[in-house]
Amino acid sequence: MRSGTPTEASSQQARFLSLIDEYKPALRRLVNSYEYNASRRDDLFQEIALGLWQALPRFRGESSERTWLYRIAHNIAISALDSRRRRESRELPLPDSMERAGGFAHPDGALVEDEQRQMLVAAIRELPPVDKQLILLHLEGLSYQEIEEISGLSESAIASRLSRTRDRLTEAIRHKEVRR
Amino acid sequence: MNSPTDYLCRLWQSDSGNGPVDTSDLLRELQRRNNSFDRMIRRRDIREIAGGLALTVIYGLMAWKAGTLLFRVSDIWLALCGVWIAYYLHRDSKRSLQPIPDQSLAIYRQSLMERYDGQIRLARTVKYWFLLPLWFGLLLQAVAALPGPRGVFKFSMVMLVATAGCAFVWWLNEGPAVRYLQHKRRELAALIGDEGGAR
Repeated sequence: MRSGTPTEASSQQARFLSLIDEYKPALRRLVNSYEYNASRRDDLFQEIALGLWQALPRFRGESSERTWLYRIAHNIAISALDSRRRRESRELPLPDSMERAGGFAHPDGALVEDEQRQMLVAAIRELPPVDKQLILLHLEGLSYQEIEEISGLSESAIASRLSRTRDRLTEAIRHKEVRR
Repeated sequence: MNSPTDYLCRLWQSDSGNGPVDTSDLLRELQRRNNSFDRMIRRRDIREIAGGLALTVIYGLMAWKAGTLLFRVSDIWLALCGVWIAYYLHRDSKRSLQPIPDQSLAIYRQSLMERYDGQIRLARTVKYWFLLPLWFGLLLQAVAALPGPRGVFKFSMVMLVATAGCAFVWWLNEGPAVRYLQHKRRELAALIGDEGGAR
């Protein structure tokens, strides 16, 4: 990041840290849904943080902060997957028992919800890239208009893809629950 | 009763994002990566310019000391080739940089694909921007050598080596290099859900 004066640099730094602080949970969830491997999730998180850090001086507020942030995060996640694919052959996902999408143990009361969330993350990971991006934005609570701004797809295309994806996810969770 | 969408959203957002983020470590790491990226770009640019300039300096000196007008012209031509190749590669490498991520997802996906298209185009046109100017310069050199002792032999040898070398580079670019890039492009298309397929 190149900032003109030390004051500008420290204000950019403060802005960056507040962004990371505010969106950390959403970014972590996004990283979880792109990356199977726990050790690579930190790398991807850093890649995204670097992208935000480099892009911050260019942010002029023409779009909302969160649409800007999600655009960068998804684009970098796609690029990172492409770079990794070029570096090595694709790894098979580890079984859930070894590789949990979340990572923390929960008390008994939260166990069912935790397991359902694991199923949701697993089902999201299996989605085609565009559907995955759309549903992640939707689950983070963005409006159709914001998703349109981020994805470049029309609202009608978004609505139809989301409807299909929601059904697919609900069905996947139900199916896995029945199998248990 | 909650709708399935509400349920999915609530379930999704109930994950508060595991693991703390040490912001001072993160900042240090970002500065390190940022600086190393800048250094990598600078080193690559310097390497390309130095390669072109080396060719220019060598043939420039040869032109200075050339005994005949035709030798001088051919040396000047090859010196200019060095400048041209360095400029062309430098211009193309700027175009091939990772696209900036603050654009819409659809445009970004397209930009990723275009990077491969650009590299395929570069390999396919190598005969025009790289081989042809060099081959022509070497042809001039060979013609300049004709009037001297064993001129025909020298002419034949220079042209044989130059043509074989150029043909090999041409084949390498148009064959294996293009096929490899097309394969990588198809893989990327599958990964990002692009429906364009290979070009």
